[in-house]
Order: sequence, then C-alpha cells, then structure tokens
Amino acid sequence: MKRLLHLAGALVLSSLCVTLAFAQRSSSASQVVTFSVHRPTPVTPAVIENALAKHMHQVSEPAASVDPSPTNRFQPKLSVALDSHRRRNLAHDLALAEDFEAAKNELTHTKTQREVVLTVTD
Amino acid sequence: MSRGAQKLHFIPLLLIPLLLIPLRLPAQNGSSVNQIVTVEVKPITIIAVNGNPGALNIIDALGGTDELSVSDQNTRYSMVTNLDNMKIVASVNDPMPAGTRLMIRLESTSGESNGEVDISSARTPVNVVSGIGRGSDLNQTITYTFAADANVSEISAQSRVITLTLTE
Repeated sequence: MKRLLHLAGALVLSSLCVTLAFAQRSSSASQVVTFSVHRPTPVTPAVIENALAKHMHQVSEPAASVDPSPTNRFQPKLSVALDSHRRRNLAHDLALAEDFEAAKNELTHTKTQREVVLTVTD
Repeated sequence: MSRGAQKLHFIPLLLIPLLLIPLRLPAQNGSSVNQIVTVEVKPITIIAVNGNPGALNIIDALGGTDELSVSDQNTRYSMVTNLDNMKIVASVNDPMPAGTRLMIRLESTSGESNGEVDISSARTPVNVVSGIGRGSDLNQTITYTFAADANVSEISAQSRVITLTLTE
C-alpha cells in the first residue's frame, strides 16, 4: 500500500513537470479589437428638412422667435441665421462631412432653406 | 628545587617543537574539496504587445461600394526565444459577425510573415508568422483590417479578444 502511494505521488509529480515544461515553451499576449459599422440614413429631402428643423430650434439670434412649424420653415431668414457651429452640426446630421466645405459656402449664401435642400441633394 | 628537578621541567618544552614538525608536514601537501555545479538553460519564449488597437469603425457616408474596410497599425509586438523553428499563431475568442472580416498582419524580421491572415472565425489558432529562429524581434508592427460587405447593416460597437501565441 505504501509503495502504491509512492508510485502515485511520483506519477503526479512527473506529470506536473511535463506540464511545466510545455508551459515554458510557449507564451501568449492578447489584444482587444473594437469595431463597428455605421450606415447613415440615406440623405433624402425629408431627412434634410428634419435636420434643418432641428437646428432651427437651436438658433438664438436672430431666428429665435421664428416658429419652426412647417408653414414657416422655408422663410429666407431661417437659413442665414445658422452660424458656423450650427452649420457644422447640420452637415454632420446630413452625413455630408466630406462635402462640408462646399455645403457651408452654399449655406452661407443661400437665401432660403428650399434652396439649401436643392443644393445639398445635388 | 634541586638542579636535577629544574632540568626535568625543561624536557617538555624541548619536545613541543618536535611535536609540531610532523603536524605541519601534511598541511604543506595541499587540501582539496569538490563541488558539483549543475547548469541548465531553460527554453525561453516570451511575447508581449504594447496595448490595444484603435476602434475600427466603418462609416459608409456615401455608399455604393461593394466592401469597405478600415485598418489600424498603431500597436507593436516584441518577442524573444532561444528555440528554433518557432511560430506565432493568432486566435479570436468569438467569430466575427456575418458579412464582416477581421484580418491581422504581423511584421517579422526573425521569421517569415504569412501576410494578411483572416482570423474572422479563428477559434482554433492560425499561423501568422512562421520559421522564427533563436533571437528577438522588437517593436514589430501589428496591422488589423476590418472589412464589411456592402449589404451588412449597422453593427454597434463590439469587441473581440485576439490572442497571439509564440509556440513550437
């Protein structure tokens, strides 16, 4: 019985040694990769109008008093009231970041939002 | 004390040098001891990376492309080994979503890079560098490329754990 116990102990020790020997022959390192796919909503006239309406609410001067309801949304003074920050937000919402410079110039000189819609969709 | 008794006291003193002479003779012949020194060089395999790559975000602003991809080359790996014919394998903890692919490319100067290797479903490790000899490779570039088919809809941010293993 004692010899059996010794034999079992020796076997356990030798298998442990084998395990340790293998562990020394490889090494690992890990990295975490984060990914995503973003597909913006296609730019349609409706999307543009919604984005314009959203930014109309944020304009304080001089268009703060303008009612952004559908009947008033296309008044000329609404579009010229967008400052550069809000124009940037608008461009971002429209997912037109690459065309922002061109869009910004158009927005600056556009007198009506209806024209803006036409310019952006072009 | 009589004169005869004084002579008897000197006799032991005269004998002391005689006793020392035989004692000193073996010491002049030298003395040795032995030790056994056991030396061993264990197998060394170490690989490390310097952090995680940046987020791989595909932003399809314009559409109309069959496949879009983004890459990251901001991370490095270093390795050292005293074994021959080693390789680096890569595995992913969870397969990539359908319609997307994750590729990895490891530069190597002490081995041969397998180029861009698709690890999208590599639950079982796949080779990315082979034939690595003894020595070290420091600050080698890791390139990740994430690609998505055009018909893949939005995928919110997800993560995968990529494990690089230096092994035989």
